[in-house]
Amino acid sequence: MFGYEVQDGISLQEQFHGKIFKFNREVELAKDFVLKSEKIHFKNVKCPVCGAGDVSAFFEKWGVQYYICTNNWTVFALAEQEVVDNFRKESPLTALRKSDDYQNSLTENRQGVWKNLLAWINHRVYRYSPQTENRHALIRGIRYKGLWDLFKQCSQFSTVDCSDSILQPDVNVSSGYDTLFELDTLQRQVTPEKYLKNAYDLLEEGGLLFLNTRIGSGYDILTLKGKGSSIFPYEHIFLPSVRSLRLLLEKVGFTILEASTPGVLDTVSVYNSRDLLSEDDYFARFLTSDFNERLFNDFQKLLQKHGLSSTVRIVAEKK
Amino acid sequence: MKTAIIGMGRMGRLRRKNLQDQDLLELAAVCDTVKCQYDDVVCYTDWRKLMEKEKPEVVFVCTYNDVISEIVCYALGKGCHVFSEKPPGRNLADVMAMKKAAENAPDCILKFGFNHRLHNSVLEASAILNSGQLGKVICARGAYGKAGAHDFATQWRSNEEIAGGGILLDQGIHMLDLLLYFMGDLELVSSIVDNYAWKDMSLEDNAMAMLKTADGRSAMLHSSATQWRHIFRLELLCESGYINLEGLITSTMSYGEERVRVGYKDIDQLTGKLGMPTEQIYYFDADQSWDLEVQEFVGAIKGIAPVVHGTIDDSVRLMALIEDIYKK
Repeated sequence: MFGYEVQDGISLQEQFHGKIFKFNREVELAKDFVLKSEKIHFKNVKCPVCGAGDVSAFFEKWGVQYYICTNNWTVFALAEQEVVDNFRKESPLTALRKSDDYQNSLTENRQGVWKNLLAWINHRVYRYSPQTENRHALIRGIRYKGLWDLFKQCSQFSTVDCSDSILQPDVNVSSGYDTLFELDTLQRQVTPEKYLKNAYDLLEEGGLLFLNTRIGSGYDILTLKGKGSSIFPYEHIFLPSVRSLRLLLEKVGFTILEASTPGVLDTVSVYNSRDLLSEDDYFARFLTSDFNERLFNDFQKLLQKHGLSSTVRIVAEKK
Repeated sequence: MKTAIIGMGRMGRLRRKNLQDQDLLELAAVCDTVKCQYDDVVCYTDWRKLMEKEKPEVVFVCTYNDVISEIVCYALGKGCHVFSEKPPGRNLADVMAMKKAAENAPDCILKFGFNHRLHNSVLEASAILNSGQLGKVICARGAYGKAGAHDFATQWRSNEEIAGGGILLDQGIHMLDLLLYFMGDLELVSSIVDNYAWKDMSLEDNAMAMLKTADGRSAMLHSSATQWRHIFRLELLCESGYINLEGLITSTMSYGEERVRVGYKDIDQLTGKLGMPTEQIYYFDADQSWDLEVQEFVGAIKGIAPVVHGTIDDSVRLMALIEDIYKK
C-alpha cells in the first residue's frame, strides 16, 4: 500500500562511513562466537512461514546453513533459540555493544537518522490513531541508549517500557500496551509466528505495532548471498520477504496499515563487497565496476520505493 | 435504509459500486434521463416520480450541476439524508438554497463529495500538520489542471447554463477546497479568469487566484484546462518545513504517482546542503477516497460522528469564493 523513501542530503559514502563505525569489529566478534558454538544438524527443514519442505540451500556462513523458500522468498537458518539468545545476551559482541565508547559514538553518529525515525513515528501515530498523546509504549530489542533517551523524550508517550534489550536485564512485561516497537527482534527468531503472536497479545485492541527488521528479499542479500558482512548468524536467523511478513502478521491477527522498505545501504553494500560477487553475476559486477554516486542514489531510491531494499518497516494494528 | 441514486453517469455508477459494501444502505431505485436498466433495482427517467413512488430514506445526487440544488432541496424536504456530488450547485444562490433546506431539515445528514480530502496524500499531509512538527502553513501554491479534449467546448461541463462555471468550478474547486482545508478561511486578493485556448467558449479554460487569510498568510491557485500534461501539485510552505503533495491516483494515472514529500527547514545544514535538506517521501498505490467519503456519510447517519468533509458550510464558503473569483 505504501512506498517510503528517504532522500538524504548527505552522500552515500558519508552514510556508509557513519554506518561502519566498529562494524568490522562486531562481525569479527560474532564470527568467533558462532564458530565456537555447537552446530546441530537439523532434519526435515521447513519454511517457518508456509511450512513447505521444498526449500533450497541458499548459502552457508560460519558453519550455519541458510535456506531460501522461493514460495514466499523467506531466507532462514535453523538454530536452537537458546543459542541465539545466548549470542544476544552473553557474547563478547554484546559486551562491545553495551560499552560506553560504543554507545556514545553511535549516539553522536546517528542523531539525524534517529530524529527522522521519530518524526516518522510521530506522523504515523497522527495518521492512524485518534490518541496522539499519553500513549503507553513498549520497545523490544532497542540497542542504543541514545535512541531510547529520544523515545523517552517523545511527548506522545507517557510511558516507554523496554524489554528484550541489551540495555537492561530482561523483565517480565504484561499486556495492555497501545504501542509496541519491535526493533530488529524478528530477525533473530527461530519461531517467528509464535513471537508475533506474543507481540499481538502484548497490545490492547486498536494498538499499533511498529516493526522493523532485515528482509531476505532485499537487493544486497539476494545479490551477495551471504558473502557480504551485513548478514550473519546468529544476528540474522529469520529474514522474511515483505510478502511473507504480511502473511505472518495477518495470520496472527494484525491488520497491516503500511509496509515500506526504507533501507539506504544496499547498493553501497554490494559495491563494497564487489570482489566477492559470483563470476556469473554480470549485472551486479557491471553495476559496481565504478563508484557512480548518482547511479547508486537512483538505484537505491528505486529499491526503496518498490519494496526491494533490505530493511522493512511495518505499521500494523491489532483489531 | 432504502436508497436511491439520481443520475447514473460515471459518478452514479461509481456510487452504486460503493453502496455494495454498505450494510446500512440498500439501493432500491436509480434514475437517469437516459433510460437505464439494472436487474436488481427499479429504474426511472423522472427523479420526481422516483421520489414519489419509492419514498427513499437516502438519496445520492449524481446529476449535472443545473439540477443539483433542486433535487437536494426536494430530498431534504422529504426528510431524506442526502449525499451530493460536487460542485454544490452552479453558483452561490444554488448553495444558499441548499443551506436553507438543510436548516429546515435538522435531522437529515447532508454531505457533498469532495473526495480529494480523503486521498492518501491529503490524509498524510493533514496528519503531519496536525503533529505540529512543521508549524503553521504560511503560504501555499496549488495547481490542478487537465488537458481539454477535442470535444471540450461541446461537453456539458462547458455549457454555462448547465455547468454554471468552467474548469474552476469543475476541477479547480477541489484544489480551492484543499487550500481552505489546510489554511482556514481565505479571501480573494485578485484573480484572472480567461479562456486562452477555446476562444469561442463562454466559460473559462484557466483561472488563477491570489488569496490571503485574515492573519496575512497567502495562497495561489491555478486551475487549468490547458495543462497538456495533467498536473496535481500542492505545496504547503510551513514555519519549520514544507509538505509537497505531488500527483494523484486516478483511474488513468495521468496525474502521476501520488506522493507526499516532507522536509524540514535546515538553515544550519545539519542534514544536507542549504536548500537540499533530507526529505521523507511517502508513495501511495491505492485510492480509497470514494469509499471513505461514503463511510463518513453512513457514519453520520448512524450517529457515530458528524460530517467533517464536504459540509454545507464548507460548500457555502467555497462557492462564495468562486463567485468572487469569477466577478473579479
